[in-house]
Amino acid sequence: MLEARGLTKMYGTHKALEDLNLTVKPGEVYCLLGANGAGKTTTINLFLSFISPEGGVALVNGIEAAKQPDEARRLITYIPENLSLYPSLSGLENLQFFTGLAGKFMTDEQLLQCLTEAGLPADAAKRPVGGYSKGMRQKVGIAMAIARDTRALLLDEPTSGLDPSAGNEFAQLLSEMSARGAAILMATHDLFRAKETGTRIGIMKRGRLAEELRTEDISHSDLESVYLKHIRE
Amino acid sequence: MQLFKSALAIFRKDFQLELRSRYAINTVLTFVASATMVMFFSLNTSLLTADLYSGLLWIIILFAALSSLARSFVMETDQQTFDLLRLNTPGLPVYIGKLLFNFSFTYAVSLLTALLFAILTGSFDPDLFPFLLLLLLGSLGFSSVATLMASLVSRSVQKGAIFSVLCLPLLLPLIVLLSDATRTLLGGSPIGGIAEQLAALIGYCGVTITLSIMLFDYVWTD
Repeated sequence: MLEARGLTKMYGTHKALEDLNLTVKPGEVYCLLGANGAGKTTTINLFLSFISPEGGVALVNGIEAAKQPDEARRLITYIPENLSLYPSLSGLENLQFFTGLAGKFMTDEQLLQCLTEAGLPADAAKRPVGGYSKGMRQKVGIAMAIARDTRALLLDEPTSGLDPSAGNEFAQLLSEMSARGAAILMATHDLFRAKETGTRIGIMKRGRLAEELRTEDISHSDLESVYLKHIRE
Repeated sequence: MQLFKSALAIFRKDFQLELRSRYAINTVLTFVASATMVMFFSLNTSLLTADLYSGLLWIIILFAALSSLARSFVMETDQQTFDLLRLNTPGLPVYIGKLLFNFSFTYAVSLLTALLFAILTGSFDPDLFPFLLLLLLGSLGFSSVATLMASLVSRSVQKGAIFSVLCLPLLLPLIVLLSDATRTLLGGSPIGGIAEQLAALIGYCGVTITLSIMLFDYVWTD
C-alpha cells in the first residue's frame, strides 16, 4: 500500500533522505524511529506530497504521490503531532466538513457512529473543538480515517504529549485500524509504543534506514539497545 | 459535481465560522458606520457633488473589504488547518468556496454602505437596478482579487501590510471604473449610459477570476 523506492530528498546541500526503501502492507503498522532530523517527518511529507523528492518515488497503492497528489491523498488520512481543527466547530461539524470535502457525505448518525468508534462520546462530539484535549482531537482524526474508510494512515509523533492512558487508548485504536486493513506508517520517539503497536520497526539515521526489525523478534530492552547503538554511533 | 459540493462545503464552513466568531462582521460594521458618520459630520453634505459621493462610497467599500477579506485564508494559517484542507481537497474548490464567501460578504457590505449613504445624505439616489448591478460587479471584482492575494500572503509574516500593498494597484482600475459609473448614474443617466463601464467591469471580473483559477494551484501546492 505504501512504498518508498530509492526516495531521496535534499534541503539545499543537506541530504535529508537518502535512497530510502520501505514497504508498508495493508494491515501492517510500520514504526519509524530515529533522532530529530533523521528523516522521519520528511518521509511522511513525501508520501503526502507536501514536498517533492529529488530522487526515487513514494507510492500510495501504486500511485506516485509526487505526480498524482490528489489521487494519492484520497487514500490517506494524516494525523500530525497536533491535529489542528476549527476550534469553534464541534468535533461532529469538523468531521462532517472534512469528510464532505473528501467526497464522503454521511448522516449525522453515521458520523457520530464513527466518532464513537474512535472513542469520542456523543456529548463530547457536539462540543466545540476549542475545549478538546490533544487526545480528543486525535480521536477526531481517527474518526476521519474510519469515515473515509482510509487505506493508509500516516502519523507523525501522534502520542507525544499524551498521558500513558490516552497513549494506550490511541495504540488500541491503531490496532483496530490495522485490523480493518489500513497500512499504518507512524513516526515516533516512543520505543515502548512502537514495540507494542508496531508490526515492523525501521530505525532511521541521517536520512537512511539504518536497520529494520520485526517487533515479534525483539524484546523491549533489545530494541532500546539497538536504537541507542544506532543513535550514538 | 464534487468540485461544487466541496466549494459549497468551504463556503458553508466559512459562513458558520464567521457567524460564531463575528470577527469580520464586527470589524467591517464598525468601520463602515464610523467612516460614513465621520464623512457625514465633517463634510457639508449639501455641497457634495456626484463626483465626491461616488468616490467616497467606493473608497469606504474598498477599505472595508480590505480590512476583512484577507481573513479568509489567514484564518486557515492561524488555525493551522491549511494542511488538513490540502489533504482533503484540490485547490480549485477551495478558491471557489472562498471566493463565494468573500463575494457574499463584500456584496452585503456594499449594500449596507450604500444604504447608510442614502439614509444619512438624503440626496444619494441613483437608479436602483443599474446601481445594484454596479455593487454586484464591484463586489465580485474586489473579492476575486482579494481572494487570490489573501492566499498568497496567508503564510507571510506581515500579512495585513503586504495584502494591502498587493491589492491596491490591482484594484485601482476597478475603483476608477466603479466611481465613474456611479457618478454617471447619480447624474440621472439610465443604464445605457454606463454600458461601456459595465462591459469593462465584466471584463475585469472575467480576467481576474480566470487568472486566479489558473494561478491558484501554484499557491496551493507550493
